Amino acid sequence: MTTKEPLSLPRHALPWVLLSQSYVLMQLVGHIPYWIYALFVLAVGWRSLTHMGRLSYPNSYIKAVVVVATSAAIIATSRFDLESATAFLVAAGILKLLEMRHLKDLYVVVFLNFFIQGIVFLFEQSIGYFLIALIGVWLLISTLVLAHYSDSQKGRYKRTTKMAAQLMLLSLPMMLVLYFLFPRIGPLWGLTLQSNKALTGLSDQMNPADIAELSQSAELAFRVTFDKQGIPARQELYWRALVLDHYTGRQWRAQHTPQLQWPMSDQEPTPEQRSYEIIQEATGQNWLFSMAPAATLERGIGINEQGLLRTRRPVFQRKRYQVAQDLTEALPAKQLSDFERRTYLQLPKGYNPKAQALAQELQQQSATELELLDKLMQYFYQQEFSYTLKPQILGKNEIDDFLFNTKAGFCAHYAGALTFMARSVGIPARVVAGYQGGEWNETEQYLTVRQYDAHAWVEIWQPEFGWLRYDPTAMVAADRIEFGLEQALAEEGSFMEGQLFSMQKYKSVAWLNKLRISLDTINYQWQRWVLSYDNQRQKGFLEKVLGFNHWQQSLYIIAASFIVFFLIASVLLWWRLRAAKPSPFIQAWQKLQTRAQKLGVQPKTGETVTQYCNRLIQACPQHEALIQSTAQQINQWLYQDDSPDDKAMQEAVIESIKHLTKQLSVQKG
Amino acid sequence: MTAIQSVLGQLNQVILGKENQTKLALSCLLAKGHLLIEDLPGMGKTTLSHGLASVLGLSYNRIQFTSDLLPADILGVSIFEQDPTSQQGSFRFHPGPVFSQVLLADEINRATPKAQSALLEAMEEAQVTIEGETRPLPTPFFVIATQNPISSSGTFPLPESQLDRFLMCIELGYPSEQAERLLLEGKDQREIAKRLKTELTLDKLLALQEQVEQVKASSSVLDYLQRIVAYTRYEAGYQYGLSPRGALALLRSAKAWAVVNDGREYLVPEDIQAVLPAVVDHRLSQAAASNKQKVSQDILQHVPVLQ
Amino acid sequence: MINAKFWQPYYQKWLNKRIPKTNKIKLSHRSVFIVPNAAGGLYILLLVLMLITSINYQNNLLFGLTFWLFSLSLVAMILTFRNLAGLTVIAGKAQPCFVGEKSALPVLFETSSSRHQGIAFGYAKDISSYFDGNGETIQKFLYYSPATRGYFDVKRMRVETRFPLGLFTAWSWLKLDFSALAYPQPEFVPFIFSEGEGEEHTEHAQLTVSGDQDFYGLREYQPGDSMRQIAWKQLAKGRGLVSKEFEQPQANSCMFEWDSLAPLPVEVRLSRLCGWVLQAHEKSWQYGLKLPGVQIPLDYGLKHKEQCLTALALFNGKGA
Repeated sequence: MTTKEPLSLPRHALPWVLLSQSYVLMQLVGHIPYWIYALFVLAVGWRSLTHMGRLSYPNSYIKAVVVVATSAAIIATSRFDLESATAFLVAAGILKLLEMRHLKDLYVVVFLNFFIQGIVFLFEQSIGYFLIALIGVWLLISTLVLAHYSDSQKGRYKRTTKMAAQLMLLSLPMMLVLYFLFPRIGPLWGLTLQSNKALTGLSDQMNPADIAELSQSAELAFRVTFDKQGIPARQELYWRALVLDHYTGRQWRAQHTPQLQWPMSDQEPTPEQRSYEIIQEATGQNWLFSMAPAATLERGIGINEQGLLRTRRPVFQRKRYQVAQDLTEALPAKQLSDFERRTYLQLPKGYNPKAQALAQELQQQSATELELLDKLMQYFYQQEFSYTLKPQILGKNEIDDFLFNTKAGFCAHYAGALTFMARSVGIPARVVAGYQGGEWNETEQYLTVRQYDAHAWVEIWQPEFGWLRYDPTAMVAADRIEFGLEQALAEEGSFMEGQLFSMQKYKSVAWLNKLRISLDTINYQWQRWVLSYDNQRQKGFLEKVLGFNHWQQSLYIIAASFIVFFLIASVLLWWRLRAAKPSPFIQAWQKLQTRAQKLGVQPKTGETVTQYCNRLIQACPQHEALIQSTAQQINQWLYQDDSPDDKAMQEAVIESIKHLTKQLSVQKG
Repeated sequence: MTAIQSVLGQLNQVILGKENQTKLALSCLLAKGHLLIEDLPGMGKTTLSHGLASVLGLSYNRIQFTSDLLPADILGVSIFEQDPTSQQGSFRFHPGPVFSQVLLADEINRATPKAQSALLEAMEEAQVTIEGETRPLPTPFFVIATQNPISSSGTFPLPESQLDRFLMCIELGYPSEQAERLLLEGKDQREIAKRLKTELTLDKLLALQEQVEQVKASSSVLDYLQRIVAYTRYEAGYQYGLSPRGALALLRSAKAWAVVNDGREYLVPEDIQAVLPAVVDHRLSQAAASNKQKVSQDILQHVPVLQ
Repeated sequence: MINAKFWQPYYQKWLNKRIPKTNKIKLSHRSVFIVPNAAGGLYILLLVLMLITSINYQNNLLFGLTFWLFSLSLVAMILTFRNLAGLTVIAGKAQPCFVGEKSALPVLFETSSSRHQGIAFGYAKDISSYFDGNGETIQKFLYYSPATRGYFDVKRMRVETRFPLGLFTAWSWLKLDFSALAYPQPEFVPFIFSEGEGEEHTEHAQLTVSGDQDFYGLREYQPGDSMRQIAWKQLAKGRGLVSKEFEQPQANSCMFEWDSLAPLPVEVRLSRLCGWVLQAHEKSWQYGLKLPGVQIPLDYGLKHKEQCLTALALFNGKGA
């Protein structure tokens, strides 16, 4: 500031800059191009050689070439996603290393690394990564502290890192206040760079191949906790996400986008509703999961005519929301409109004649539509259908091929076939895609739904009842519904095939399974309490815990905590700066002198205990023995035994002095 | 009656009414330091030094410093001597008066700085180097230098840095009326001093010096000492403060005082206070030139003993 | 800072009131100032960027990190302040010097028992010296060349620290009272003095060569030594050429007078008198000084020299 020459970079800080930067960059492996690491190694090498005096700093030509080449390389491979933006930042930090000679350059590097350390959270949010990142922050703070440490004594690294840890701990309370109370506003602008990492999950087109692939993934889809109504029976756990209404002959897709209704305000669930809370992983889509019949409770969540929940923006971050399920048997709200009827009866011309024939044949045998549907379901049960994740490739008329030829498939095949047959005889039907079941954590009372729980089933319209759920898969593989995919595939052995190292695969190893479940519990709590704290949660927290009904009040609290923070700091500073309190012995001695002052014995600076006591004896000779012994005791304690820290001795001495003081007061009285 | 008490008793026979000074002089010897006596002529400086030498059974020499004194007069010279029988000649070293256990350097400020520094170097190093040969001085080696405080023409007062070489600097002062009468009634004190009984052997003396070093200084006493040092350095308005050597000198003297005064094995603040004027005043007199008050008095009045 | 010149006197006045000149000061709330520095500004920028990112991505961990780093800066501010507060700065015993010379002023930093780290000090434009302490007293030097004679008038000294994170600078401006004297710049000219009470006469400075009265000792032969000086006896012993050295005590006495330099301006006269005093001291003469209102009798020695120089340094021309 006032110095003309910028402060130079402290030599001892450089290794720490390189160390902390390496640590931060290591966390980005897989997210930034590998050649950047090569660049980093080169930069570290060059800078270390400069540090040792073997090499000079790169001149401006070299720097220009490196900067241009690096930028070109990043732009060439850029896809305008989060990864390339991060690569840019990282490269900037690396190139800055090459010209880091002053303290101010160190600030730039360290601050950039703080930012990169924050960016890591956009890719990874698990508790493990959080702990790793904590160490990164700690290293970066240590680097900063070290750069301002002039102490060259041994043990300075220990002191520096300790100081960094102390700083982090001391700032924790204020951080928590801000974390919970700082108003969480929505994204400032919509266009944010997204990661190009493929998100696993459902898609709005049902390809049997997709679902087969999903079934191999143990990745988390969402977790659910239920309110006091508890968890429904496992067979009822149908998590709806999509309605696939359009059949092309090769696949089912969601064509029709029905009207959405958005609630005006947040609502409490009624007693007739079962409410549950879902923490959903990022899907990159705007659909949410719910059980039918669903009701929305939150302002930001809309519901469409198909009873499906939607958000306004695609879910790119883990989302936590509350949903209700109506438990009362509600009558259908309305009849199908012509448009809807047409939609749910849509079929491509000229496909699957045999299936159509079968449906018509069964229709003639049945009196009502319900009976017909029963017969269709029974058909799956009675015929030799089998459940497999490795179906054979089907021909042009795939449903015909499946029903009469291969007779083996999984949910997508069964649901597609049933819907097709129902539609072919004029019954409105639709395929619903979502998840079924989940793993119940008994201790923590939550349900974990994974990608391999992906499922497809059928909903069929009955004017008296509305949409009814039919799951033909249950007819074929009851285990799939009652116990989950693993049981259903027990015979075939194809569960998590190819995922050798997935812990899901080793559920039978008891301790491993136990470990897996506890890890899952930790992650669940982490997600529930930390990661999914958004403005809804914040509002709830403010209202329920702090009793606020307006978010401005939290600003008052923040302001108040700032005041408290500075008050505490001032008090601590004052405490530190105040004159050191005299020891108890000196206090007692001073009291004695104050008392003796009233007897006319003025204390003199520079007087020894013996000298003072001799004067005291002259003033009150009747206490000679007592004064003598006290002086003797003090002298012995302080000088002969040299034990000023001996508490017992000190106590005894203080007692004598107090006793003497009292005697002197008695005399006066 | 301990050895020290009898030594003091003997000394007080010849130097009447100066118990404090004799104790200080003895302390100075036991602390392996050298003594500077600043006083007018005829105050008994010679008597004290001579008495000390005879009571302790030490060899004694006296040099009267004059303006024409040469270093060789103090240290000794090599003289070419011819053996009458063989006609062979050789240089033989004739040791100067410095080769004695107690040396009285009378009126040191009358000699030229070169002569002074010859003695001071010998004091500092306890050895003498003459014409390239190093000869050790006897142990103990105790110099009592006297200086006439009244500055007169043709004198060379010892500079500050040289004063530091003397552990203590004392004044004898006029005797009390009583002592003066005894002095007048009695015999020549110098004669008595010559005939004093030797009370200590060399071994005993060295043992006493060892005992001085064993005196324990508690942390409370050291705190007090450090407060004194800090006071001279930072608080009092002196131009400079007590050097680390000065601080060590104070501690060493106080330890010797503890032994001489009551044979104690530990230090009390009174010991420091007792030797303070002798140790500190001559070191800081110029630093505190503006003050009328003596430095030691200033310290005693301003540095708290307990804190 | 456009009006820096305009505000300067007011600022100095305020500063003089807030941190008066003293020879010992314990830094506290009153004397320590603290503001974020350039690095602190950069840090704020970092926090803003991180906050925007966390809002846009609705990322709680990033929110947390942002708030943590923010709280960290608050704690760092307190610690930076704490690092300086409690430090006691003492003006050491400065040696007097002549105008035009550079004097090293000892500054003592009495550190309190908890550590003080990375404390820098110096004049406004030159803050370079760093140190740290843990309960001990540290002596450092501040260089000062007095521009005028009289008591030292040392500019305000800046003590500052950025520890621990460098985001804040805590500093203090201290006016230390060294109460040492700057003597007039000596000017060496031939003497004009009166011997005792006699008349004035001049004497040209003469080089003292080895005298030939009192034998002092032996030294290496130097070309130019006279034959009489050579120690033949030593040569005979085979110890080579050595010369005998003799002491030549000089006992001149002189009185330096203000009036003898009559028409010259005050400062020139003081400079010349100063030069004479120094030369006379070097030659071990007895000398005295006669200034209007100040008279120092004939004497010699260090104390005497200092007395004379002090009189010259503090001379105010009125004769009081």
